[in-house]
Amino acid sequence: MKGLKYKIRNNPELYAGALISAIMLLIIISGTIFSPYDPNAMSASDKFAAPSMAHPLGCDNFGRDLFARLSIGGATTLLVATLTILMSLTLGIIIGAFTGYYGGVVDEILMRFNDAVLAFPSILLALVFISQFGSGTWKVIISLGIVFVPSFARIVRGEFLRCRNLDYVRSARLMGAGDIRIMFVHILPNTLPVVLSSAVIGFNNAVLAEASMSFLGIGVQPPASSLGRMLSDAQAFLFSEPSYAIYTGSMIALLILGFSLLGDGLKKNA
Amino acid sequence: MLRSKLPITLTLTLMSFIMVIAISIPVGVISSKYEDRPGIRIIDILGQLTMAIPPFFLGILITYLFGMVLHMFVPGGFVSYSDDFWGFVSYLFFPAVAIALPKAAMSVKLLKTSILSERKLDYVRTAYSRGNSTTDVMYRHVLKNAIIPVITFLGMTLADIVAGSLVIEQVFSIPGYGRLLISSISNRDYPVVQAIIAIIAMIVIIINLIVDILYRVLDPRIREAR
Amino acid sequence: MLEVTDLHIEIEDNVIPETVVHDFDITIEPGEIVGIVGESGSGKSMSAHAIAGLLSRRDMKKQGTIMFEGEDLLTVSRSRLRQIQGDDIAIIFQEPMTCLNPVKKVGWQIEEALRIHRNMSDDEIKSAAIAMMKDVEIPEPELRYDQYPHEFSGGLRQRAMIAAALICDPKLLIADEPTTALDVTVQAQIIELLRRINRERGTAILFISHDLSVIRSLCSRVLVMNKGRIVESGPVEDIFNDPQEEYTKHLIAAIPKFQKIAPVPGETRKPLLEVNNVSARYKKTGGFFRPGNRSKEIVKNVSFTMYEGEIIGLVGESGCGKTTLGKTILGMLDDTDGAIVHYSQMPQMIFQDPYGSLNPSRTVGWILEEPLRINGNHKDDENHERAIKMLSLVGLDESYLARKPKALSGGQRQRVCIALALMMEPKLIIADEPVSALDVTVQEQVIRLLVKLNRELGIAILFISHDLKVVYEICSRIIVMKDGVIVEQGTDEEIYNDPKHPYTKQLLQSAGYTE
Repeated sequence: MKGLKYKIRNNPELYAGALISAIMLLIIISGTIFSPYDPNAMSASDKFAAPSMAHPLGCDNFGRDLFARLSIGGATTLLVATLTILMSLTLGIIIGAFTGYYGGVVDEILMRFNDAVLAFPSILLALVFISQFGSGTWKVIISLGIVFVPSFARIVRGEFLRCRNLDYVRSARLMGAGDIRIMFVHILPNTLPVVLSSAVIGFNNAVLAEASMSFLGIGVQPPASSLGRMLSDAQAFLFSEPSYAIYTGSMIALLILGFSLLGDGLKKNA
Repeated sequence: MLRSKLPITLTLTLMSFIMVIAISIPVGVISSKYEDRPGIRIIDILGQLTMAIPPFFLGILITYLFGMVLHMFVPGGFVSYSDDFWGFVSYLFFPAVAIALPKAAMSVKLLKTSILSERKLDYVRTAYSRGNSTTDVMYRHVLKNAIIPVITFLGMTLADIVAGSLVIEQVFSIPGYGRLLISSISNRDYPVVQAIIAIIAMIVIIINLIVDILYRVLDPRIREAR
Repeated sequence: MLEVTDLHIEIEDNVIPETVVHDFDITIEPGEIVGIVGESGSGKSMSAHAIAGLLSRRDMKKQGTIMFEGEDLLTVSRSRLRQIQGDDIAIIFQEPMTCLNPVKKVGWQIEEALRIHRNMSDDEIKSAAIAMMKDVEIPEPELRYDQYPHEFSGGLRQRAMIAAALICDPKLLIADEPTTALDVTVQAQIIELLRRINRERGTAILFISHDLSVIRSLCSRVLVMNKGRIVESGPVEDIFNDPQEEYTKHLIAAIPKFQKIAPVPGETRKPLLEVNNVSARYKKTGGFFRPGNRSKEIVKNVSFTMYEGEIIGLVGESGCGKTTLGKTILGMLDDTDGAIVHYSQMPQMIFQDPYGSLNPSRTVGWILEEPLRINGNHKDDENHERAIKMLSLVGLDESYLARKPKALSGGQRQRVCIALALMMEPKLIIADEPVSALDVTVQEQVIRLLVKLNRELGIAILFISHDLKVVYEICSRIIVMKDGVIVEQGTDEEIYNDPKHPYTKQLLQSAGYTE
């Protein structure tokens, strides 16, 4: 255990991040599964009830239990972010691996395109997509999933560029290994540390993007709840009941904080 | 109508950007200089917290604290630049802060990391061996090299600030492109949406061009690369 | 002038403080050239950096005294230390590329110490810098003054570093492995430059190196270091001719000398590889948006034949095309002319950098079995057996199978690379600078291993190197390359004792070969 204290001192971000993320996950899961309340059940009498044993965080303007709503909202946000990252990571790895390994004209063209997309703020591009296809949970996932591909592609490409001329790759080629095998059996495992930490950072950006979009009203639509949407609602009651906004916003901030620290910690380890 | 909104976005963007630079460069240099003093971790932690708060939540907190509690501004009281220029600028101050703070925190972190890793390089040791003091080394040698990745980042940030301003407009009730864009999307008013996107795209492209040029000026190795 | 007593250096930033130098003493008189020799990790650089005042005062604990002209550099004030650094004591390092600031002009960097320590006008400073550049033989100094480090070659960069170090006419110049990263001919020139500086200006030199022969040619006294302490010290010739300590004897015995390691068996005269009029080009990466791809010819019309069971040395300096030729033989390049005829199956290769040659994310066992899997053999038990057999051939036991490259030393990694090459049962192994990155004592082990494999298994070796001594030890035939062409080839006797081409003669002279 002596080694553990040393490890924490050396990389506090990793452990702090893991701790906070774990706590947030715990809150969300317990709220979603174990809450006795239906997050959409309105109750006029409980309007803006103060925190109590019955309602740990109180109620919102419609008398809905805040803790339950925050948990469900958090769950939605996490789900969207996870699916988004899975999609963009898969596409990004494939594109990055092939362009980084082979190079050539195709690489040049794809990368110009990549950089052009990368230069634009992700929100704007997602907005363009939404404006064409409408909003809703799945449309948000797809639009963000596409928008995040360029950054992963670039990172993976960078790693493959770095590794493709290393001697162990040459050695594998000499032994007769085919390109696909070299790319995914030899090189890919070496890129995992960097890819993993970017995935976590990307996850964070996805959480932020989803929250922003639902804050603006073009993200996840009701009755599905989302933290961003809730915050936008809370804004109207800022003067009378600031706690509503503060709890909601803090929830988002803590989620992002946890994963952001985790991502930094992983990057440091890499 | 669209053209009238341009000054709003531009002013807000410019104010935020200047704030980011004004905060991050001194703080970055100082926090790297005193990196080994125990208290300096506070800046790191503050930075992490600031980065984690979504800009729109920060805007809401600012609205509550400085607007409703401290009465330093009137939330929702947007002043048009044609009516009162200074009123216009001062109203945009707090929204600019909301956008700038998280970006500044990121920038500080990047600058600090860049300076620290630059300081480990061999040529820094050479500079010390010639009799340079720590300050000399920082300002004559390290900073010029360390700032290069930060410039790239700031370029990208400028584009993000433009996007961020669209969201902040909702929080502070600023009649800029953001609100128009959102309502156009909801109303399926495509020509307006396309026009706004096009304008913003132009801004982003010009920004990237400027960053590219700046990059060449700073790093002689890039100038050579054919 | 300089007297160090009882120097003790401890690194404190790990969990357990680590003593890296202890009981270190050295005295340097004005105008002397003293050497410190040792392998990596011996503490020689640390001691030198301590004298130069470069060790961090925070996480390095130092004890003892470093008396320089009456002042103890370990306790003197920081501002006084800064006055001494660059003015009275100067230091040059091993890697001139990374030691110069890439975004500042070379002239500015050479002048820097003058600007810090003297009160001179800008013009005076500039002319002093240019005069210094002339003195260290940098051609066209006025032009070069305004250039950046990446526009200089390795040898020129080192000269610039020397100019920068000498500009204030220091009493002591510390040279930390200044020639290790340079070509043999350039090395010789830099050593000669240092000799001249010492003669003309009376600058004392403290020369650090792992290369005993270089130290022998330059220094009058030498200290031998191992694991942080001084093992033996004295006049250079005494140490070489009559070493007292075990370690010193071991070190001297391990230096490649011009002597044969084992009598080389007569070749069977069965051809194994024919290289006929081969040229190879590298495309200059242009890409889609930069039309007009120019290619650079690296190997020009090279021909030679290799026979079964022989060890051939392919020598030349960096950039001569020897590595490219090796790659061409293995079919790794696309843009080639000429014919390569293999009489047996494809040869295998061992690379120079043991750190990049093995996949860092896999275990040794996986790496060794991979060539078998690639070629369709998926019988795990058989593969496992074979891997163990190859490991034992190179002198490593089964426990290595589970380890990852990170956990191995340079010498162990290189052995694994050799084992990997053996997995395919080749008749020819192309070894590209296989020992250059290793410590001298480890070098010897790896070379003996290669000789053993050659004798016991009949594997021919194409030994690519810039080190003429190592090549002499094991090769029966030599091919000399320069600028992409073969300038001379012949038996070891012919090349070493009767060189015909002027370049061959120059190479031998720089390497210190006398008949």
